Amino acid sequence: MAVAVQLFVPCYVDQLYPQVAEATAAVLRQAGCEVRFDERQTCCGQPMSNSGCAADAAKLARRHLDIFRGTVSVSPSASCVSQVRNHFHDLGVTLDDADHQTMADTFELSEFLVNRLGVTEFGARFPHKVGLHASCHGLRELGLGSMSERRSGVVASPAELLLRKVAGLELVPPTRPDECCGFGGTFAVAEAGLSARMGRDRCADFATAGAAFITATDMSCLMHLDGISSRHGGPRALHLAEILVST
Amino acid sequence: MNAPPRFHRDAETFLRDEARVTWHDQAIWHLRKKRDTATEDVPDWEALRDHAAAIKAHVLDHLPQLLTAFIDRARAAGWQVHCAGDADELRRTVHRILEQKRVQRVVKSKSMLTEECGLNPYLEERGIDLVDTDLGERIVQLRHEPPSHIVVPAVHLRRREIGELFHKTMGTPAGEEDPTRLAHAARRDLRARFLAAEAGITGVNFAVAETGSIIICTNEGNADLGTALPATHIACMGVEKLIPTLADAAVFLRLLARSATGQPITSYTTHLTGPDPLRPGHEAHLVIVDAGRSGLNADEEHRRSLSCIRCGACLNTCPVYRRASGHSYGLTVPGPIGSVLGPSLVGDRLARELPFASTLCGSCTNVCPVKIDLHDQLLSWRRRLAERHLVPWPKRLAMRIGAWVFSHPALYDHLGRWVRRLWPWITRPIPGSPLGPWLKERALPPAPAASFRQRWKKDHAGKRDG
Amino acid sequence: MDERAFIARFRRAGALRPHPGAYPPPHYEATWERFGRMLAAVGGTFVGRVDRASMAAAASEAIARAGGRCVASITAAPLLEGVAGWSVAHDGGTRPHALDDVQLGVLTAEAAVAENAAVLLSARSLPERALAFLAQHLLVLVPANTLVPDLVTAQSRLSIPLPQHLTWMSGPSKTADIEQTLVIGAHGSRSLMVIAYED
Repeated sequence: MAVAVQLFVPCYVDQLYPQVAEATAAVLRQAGCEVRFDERQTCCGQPMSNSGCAADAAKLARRHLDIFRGTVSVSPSASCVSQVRNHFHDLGVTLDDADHQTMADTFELSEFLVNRLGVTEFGARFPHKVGLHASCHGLRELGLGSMSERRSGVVASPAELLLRKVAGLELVPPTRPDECCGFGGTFAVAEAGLSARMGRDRCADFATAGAAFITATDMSCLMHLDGISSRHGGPRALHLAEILVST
Repeated sequence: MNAPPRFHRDAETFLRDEARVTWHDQAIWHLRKKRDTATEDVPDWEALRDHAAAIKAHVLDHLPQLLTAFIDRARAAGWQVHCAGDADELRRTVHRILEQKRVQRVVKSKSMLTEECGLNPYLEERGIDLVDTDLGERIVQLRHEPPSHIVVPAVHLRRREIGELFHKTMGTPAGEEDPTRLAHAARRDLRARFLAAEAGITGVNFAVAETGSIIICTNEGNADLGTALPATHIACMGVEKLIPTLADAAVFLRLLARSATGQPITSYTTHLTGPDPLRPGHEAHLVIVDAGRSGLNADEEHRRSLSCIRCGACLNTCPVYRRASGHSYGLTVPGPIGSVLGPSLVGDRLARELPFASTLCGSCTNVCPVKIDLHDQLLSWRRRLAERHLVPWPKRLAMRIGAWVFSHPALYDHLGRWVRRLWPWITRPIPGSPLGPWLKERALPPAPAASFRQRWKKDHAGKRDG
Repeated sequence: MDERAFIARFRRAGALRPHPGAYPPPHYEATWERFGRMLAAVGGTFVGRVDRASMAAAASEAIARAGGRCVASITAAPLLEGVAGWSVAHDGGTRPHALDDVQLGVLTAEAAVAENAAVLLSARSLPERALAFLAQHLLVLVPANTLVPDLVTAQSRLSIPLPQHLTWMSGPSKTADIEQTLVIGAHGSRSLMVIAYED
């Protein structure tokens, strides 16, 4: 029987990068899932939470949990997933057992495909040199790979595993394995200079490694990096899901 | 304290010199890499961090008992122990000791605490000739500026700048910028000051309750010269430097130098217990300081930041610190730990920008040898600042409006269509536009004709969901 | 401020977390080979593990090379029988300033640590404390059977009461404060040579 999953689509992906959500849905279907989308969803509240506005974030957290109650949800955004799994309990929201279950059943796409479904092959073809950017929330808060600072042994990166099965794709590692891209939510606007400088350095690291494209499990990083590359020249960015549906 | 933090302004200024930012970033990243290499020689690294965190948690819960034991043993060993409730009391206590001994010339080894409490200017104003002996501290002292890093205070300076400084102040040849020759010139200059000094002021890396001893770690040997030569030693320590036993010290010593500079241990790790019995008249004073630490220890959410052993690893790994430089933080201790301690130690109003001087990437949390959850602490401070209305009102208003819009999916959907329709105009770089800062450096994608939810609805019109 | 009032400021109520207990010693090979490698990495020189005669010969050589005043700690004197060119500063502990012109200091150490190339100096082995920091160059003689594998073991073997001063010294003095360039010889010794001798 097909696993039923709810798509958890971040607001900016919904409005500006719908193809990423579509690719996510396509990949999940290919992996044997029955994919649903609840139109009541809007935003998990991460920007409010990161601004310290806990009451506003709590309102949206409560709303999110009510909408996704009793479901398994999958998102193309590791930071949004981390907000649900790791930060919903810091907002003063009253959580019952079902809420905790909903939070635990919220997954980022690559971890869901590899760790939950055990599906790694999609028959995709993407004959290019690709740099995998390890989004900070995905790496350090969801554990989606080895953190360069830690001596905890090798932790497999589901995204890397998936990319290695894509025909023609060559992964090229940057010199700094997991440095932040500089997006940081409202940081991108409040400290625009620092954010841009971090982004340019990140793009340059991938460019020096020979990457024609940058990919990640988080569209917010990619929006930022792609924005810099399209202005200054450099590797363009696309979401992991978009690569997995490439033929 | 330095001039009040103006992080945004100062960081933007520092960023303008792109080549300097590149150099600064790479120099400090190098320290991070050295730390990584050193930790590869410690198979028990993560267990060591866990143990250190647990010792510090125990210490912070048992300060009265440990303080009492420490002070009793310290006194029994001959230390003269003073307690200073705040920065002013530290300054007055140290000055009183110096006055009583009629001390004119003082050498000081690195002490972030005394920087934090403004000891140098206070003593200098009262006619004391005070020389910082850590080479990096000496350099910034001669330049009349604060340190920019807690371990390598002059990391923001090029050799040419230091060469010019030494030419002016120590008489090195004009144009000399070789680090070895400059360092050796400072060696000669400072050697004379060690020999002439009547008192030595030091910090304390660890204070051992079991024995009433202090432990001071240096690579230069300046704390040793500063305590082996002058007739009076004044050691200043924050209360949180306490550890229970000599055996506990090994846990921290194995973490400290590796985290700070990638060395297995500093060149000198010196345990001092009271005055030197071989030198008649030698006096050893201990000034134990609160200066905001008791308040922080009572703050349940943030007290674990008192575990900090001042290794600087979080500074080295922070992608923001490396590109903004320590001076942008306007605090004695900059970087992630500075941004976490700042609101407690200098007040949340003054430090209000600092918890936001971060992308919350979490690298700092991973390198902290005592496992302070730094990036979560930064987020927690953001919440507290927002509660106290210390987050700028436009931002809070935008979040309030956003939460309201997102609570009404039909409204959100509608608004989304309009934003995309007007996208070409919204994304024009209009002065004052909230997107202005984004657009300065980055493009935005063209707006799609339909949002995902519009497409989904269309694709599933007439069908059941899924 | 009043000490009792000061201490009272740090009182805690509620659950107090216990001490986690002793840290189990890590595993490093307690070999002089490892010590020597680590010492080289921190800018020092390990002559080797040698017998008394070879030690005396190496000391002789170092003293000749030093080309200036050579002072041995009183605890090193018995080990330098038959070697010329050194003296003991009997007031080295009471008048440390008089050691400023020492080119080479010869010290004994009470122990050595393989993990990090540290040697142990204290008031017991070095009553002339300032000698270790004023001498331009240092030669340290340490009994070969005092090597411990790691710092945890080393610290747990320190006996209480501690001597007034006790230092783990690893390599010569150094700084990287000028553009991260490593400079050996900051304020303390400009070189450090260690000899492990068979007693």
